[in-house]
Amino acid sequence: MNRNEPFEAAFRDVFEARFQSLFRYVNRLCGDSAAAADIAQESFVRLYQRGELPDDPRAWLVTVSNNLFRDAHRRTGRRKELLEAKADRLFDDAAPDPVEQLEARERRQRVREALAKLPLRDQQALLLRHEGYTYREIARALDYGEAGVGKLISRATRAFQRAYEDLVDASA
Amino acid sequence: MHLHDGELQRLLDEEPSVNENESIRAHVAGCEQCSARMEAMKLVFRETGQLLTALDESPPAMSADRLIEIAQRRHIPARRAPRGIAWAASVAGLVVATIVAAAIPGSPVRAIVENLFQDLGPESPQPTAPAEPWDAQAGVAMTPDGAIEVVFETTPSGGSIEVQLVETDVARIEVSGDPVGFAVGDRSIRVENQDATASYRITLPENLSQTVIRVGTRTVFAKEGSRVLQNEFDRDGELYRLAF
Repeated sequence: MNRNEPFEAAFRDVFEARFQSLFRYVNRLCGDSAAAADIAQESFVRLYQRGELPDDPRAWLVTVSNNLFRDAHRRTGRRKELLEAKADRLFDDAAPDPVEQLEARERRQRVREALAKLPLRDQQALLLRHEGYTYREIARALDYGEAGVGKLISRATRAFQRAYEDLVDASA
Repeated sequence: MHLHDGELQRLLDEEPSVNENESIRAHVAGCEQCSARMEAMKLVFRETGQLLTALDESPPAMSADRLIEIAQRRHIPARRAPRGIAWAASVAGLVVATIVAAAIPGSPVRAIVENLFQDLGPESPQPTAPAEPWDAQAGVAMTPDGAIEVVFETTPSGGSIEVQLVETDVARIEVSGDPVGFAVGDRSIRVENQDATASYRITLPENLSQTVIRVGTRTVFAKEGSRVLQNEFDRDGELYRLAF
């Protein structure tokens, strides 16, 4: 494959600037670090195969990642998702203190459950905003009207907080 | 008339289309209720950001060079011939070359062929068929720290995975087929098998607290202690096998 040097240099710059953020976004969305790594990597491979950078690489990458996530989610199905969420818990980074480890695990589980109560598009909007995406990028990635993004994010934030607090109250 | 949440959120997020609108800014500055709502939204948004970090995990070790390599490999137009075909072609070529060389009077090859046929009398023992070979081209071994997660980057387009859980401290993967890479952690082996067609023999310690095998985004095997949570392998005694 012949690639010109300016493209490769630009690709490397995008990778350095965006890979970790894209992985974090997908990992938060799917709750499976191995799947998130696959999706983030595949998105960048496709960006390279494209041969030139799109106008907005950030929005382009996250759109591809969302599509890959949707396909993977459809294939694996709910049963696997639950199982993977359970298996994933087995590999939390080891905290030195068992109590801290337990608390971190419970908090993580609650956050995951609270997020899962939101419609997928609300989850995506919320997570993208917390990754620093602009409204225009979010609108493009989610195929949503830019004028409605502010409302979408405020609604998602409120719903997430309410769901999280309910889970905390339920466990108290 | 107060601002709605979407407008406040836009202002909070410093979206230009709202920030440029001085009348909205002026309203918030002069309206106690909207100002208080906006402060509350700011606080909740910050708390949400902190909570979301609970989901974060370390990103995979990946470089732009590696991704470029993967992308370029996918574009190689002609895949390497399957191993069986390549082997058969080599044997056929050798046979043809031998016949041609043996046909030349006085050639050393002719002498070797004549001696060979003299040795192969009626009493010559028939050669026994060799056992099915396991032609491992690569492998990796490590001692897992209490638990192991084996991750194949992508679902193989052919080949198989065989897993044996045995009494050992060492986790081992042997590969036969296209070349693959490995990334080894304290409790993980990542098989970098993008576009590789290969078969794998995996030996894992049977007494780990957790054992997980993933293929692409699928968890095909998960075991906690002696309890199997997930198994997509065919089981034959102590051998688990998954074909692709």
